[in-house]
Amino acid sequence: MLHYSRPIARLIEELNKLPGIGPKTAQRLAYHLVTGPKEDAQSLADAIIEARERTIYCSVCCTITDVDPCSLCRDETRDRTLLCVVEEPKDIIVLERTREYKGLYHVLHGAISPMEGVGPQDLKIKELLARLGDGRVQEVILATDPNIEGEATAMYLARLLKPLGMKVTRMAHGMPVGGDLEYVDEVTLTKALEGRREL
Amino acid sequence: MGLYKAEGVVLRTRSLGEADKIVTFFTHTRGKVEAVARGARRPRSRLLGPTQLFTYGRYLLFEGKNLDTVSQGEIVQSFRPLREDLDRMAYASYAAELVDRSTEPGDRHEGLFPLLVAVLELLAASDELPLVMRYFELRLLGELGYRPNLSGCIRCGASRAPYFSIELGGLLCERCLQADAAAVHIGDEAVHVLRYFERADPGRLQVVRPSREALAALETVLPRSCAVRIGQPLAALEFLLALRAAERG
Repeated sequence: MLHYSRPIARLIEELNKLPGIGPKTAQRLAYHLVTGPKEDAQSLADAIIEARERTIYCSVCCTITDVDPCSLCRDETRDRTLLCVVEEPKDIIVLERTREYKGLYHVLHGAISPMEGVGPQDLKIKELLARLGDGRVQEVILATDPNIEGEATAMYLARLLKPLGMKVTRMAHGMPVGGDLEYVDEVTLTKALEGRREL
Repeated sequence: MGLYKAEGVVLRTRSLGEADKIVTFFTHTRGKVEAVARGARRPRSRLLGPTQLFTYGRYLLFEGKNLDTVSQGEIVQSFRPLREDLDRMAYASYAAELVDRSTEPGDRHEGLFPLLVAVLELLAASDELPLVMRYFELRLLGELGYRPNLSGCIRCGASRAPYFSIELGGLLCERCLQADAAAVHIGDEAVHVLRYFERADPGRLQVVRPSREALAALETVLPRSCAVRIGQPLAALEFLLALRAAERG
């Protein structure tokens, strides 16, 4: 970093810390910010600080929000007997886009990963159990990712929740819409066969 | 530089960028290989299935300067039960982490690949998961060149030697105990089981039914023997222990 002036070197270093940004991209972004309109840079800086300072974890569903409880948890029109468990806040956005689901959510902030050392205690599972205590929720839908970590998390939660007498369901696995049968792996295909439906 | 084919097992995957993955394979002919699978996190990717953890597949890879690239993949065995049962998955993760941490890219370890595949098969089907794991630990130590000396006391050669020294890598008898103050008493039955492990094929493992005490004794020495050789604690082993502790209470 000897050839950069000190403020630019610092900016590059900070940008380099972001996920998916390597040294070259960081350098390009830094020069873009420095040479572009000053207002743009100011606005970006303000947005970062505002987003960081004004967002908190929702005390109910643990998503990231600016009001507590979050707008979804406050919404009285949502079905309070259904609870969908997801890994990340961004999964809520995807599910909401379907406009099919009208229940509540719970965000775990991760998935169990034995090899990365992420255990159940690192997830928002205690908060989930606390929510379920009042008996209003009838069905818990486990919508963690369909990979090993997501499956492990779903299995762990099912093991915890079933003894409480709760209906626990898992999102279906199957063939992707618009996909090619030839390239569907055998695990997905077996699951798709198991879950076939009469037309 | 060029294309090559390899049979391998997926030991580990890490996300890279928007939709790519870095996959760590353990291959039959080249040992550990790290390769980028482009687009493998997209739901319609052809590499999605073949790059799932624990999958045994045939791969076409392209050599790169640092990392290779996965070009094609075909599943030989998906070991589905390992993904559908939390305990099996935890054990398989531990096995995969052991191999990942104890090998370096480029080291071939030819005997290790068939051992790994056989053990994953057993973990997918057997009800004796701890027994399978202890077998794997002992055989892995052998493959890595750390095979414990089980023929008798490593000091005096006495055939009855019910103590196991992790540091010295073998058995000790009562009289030679001062050679390692940390040696663990594992008992005669555990010694017999170890000797059986040493010569038995994975397929013959269901023949042994050690007592709970013998199995517990082996658990005090084998995981630690592996951890000492690897030189760092294993995250998957800790997870496994936490899982078991949670079950008990």
